[in-house]
Amino acid sequence: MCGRILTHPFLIMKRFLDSSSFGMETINVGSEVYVVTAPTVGRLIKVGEALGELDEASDIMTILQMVDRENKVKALSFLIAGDESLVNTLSGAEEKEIDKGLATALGFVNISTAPRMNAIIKNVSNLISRPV
Amino acid sequence: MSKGSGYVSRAMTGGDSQPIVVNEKYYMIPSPTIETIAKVGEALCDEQESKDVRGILYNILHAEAYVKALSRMIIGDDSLVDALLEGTTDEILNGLETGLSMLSIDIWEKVIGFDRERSAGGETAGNATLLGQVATFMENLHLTYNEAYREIPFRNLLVMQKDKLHTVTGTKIKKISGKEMASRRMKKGE
Repeated sequence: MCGRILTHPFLIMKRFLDSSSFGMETINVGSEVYVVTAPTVGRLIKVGEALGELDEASDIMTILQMVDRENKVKALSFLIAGDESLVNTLSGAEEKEIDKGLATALGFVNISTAPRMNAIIKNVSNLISRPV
Repeated sequence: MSKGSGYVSRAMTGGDSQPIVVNEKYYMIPSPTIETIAKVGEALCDEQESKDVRGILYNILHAEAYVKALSRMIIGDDSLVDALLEGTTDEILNGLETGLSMLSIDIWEKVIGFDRERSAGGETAGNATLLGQVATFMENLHLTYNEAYREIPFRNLLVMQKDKLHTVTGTKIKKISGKEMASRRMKKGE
């Protein structure tokens, strides 16, 4: 029923397009150039754990600026490599570069994600019990 | 065959599952039962709607509940969570939206000639919760709790209840074509 890898031409084309133009960005951190791709939910969860509690602000860059440098480096390593293997290399970079790298990698998350998440919660909630 | 006949036959044979793609693998979402809806609700019960930038970022960075909900929608338990974590947020949300769209009969109503009736004016109360709906299905359709909760998909229950042969208590709404309506007006004018 599930788990079969698709070889449909559409998916092959999608994969090609993803890797060529839409799903990839390069970021400069320290003296290195890294390629970041659209993060998986698993990676985003690790990033969330690394960043810890977030402070309130009007934009993502300001929120990121308020997070400890060590946590941000760990989060960026998760976004680039999926693990903490790049922490030592990234530690030497300027804070501005780390913030920019994080914002670029998080920028892959679609702008419509938040309203869609809200709509799903609302739909399921209203289905289970009518609000007062 | 008409579109509506296709919907009905697929719903009866269980062939109305919808495919979704997560991390280049495809999964089939079966038509959800009330049990599935309850399990999805349980997975999402601690989630809050985001109202500010921090909330949005928090929800995006802590989407475990949505992954769990999708796993439950596909297979009924959390066994697919690890595989689904390899998908993007968009893929997970697409999957959940597909599953939720299978709970409505709006599309059916556009292509099937269901009878419509106007109520006699008597008010009704109840059905505020999913449990109330289970009780209504059990009573109206003479089903056991297990059948209404676990065995029959929610959409099938809705159609069964809507289309069951029953005595009209109010008035039946008759469908009139544009031609008929025009000829009536002409007659009135004469």
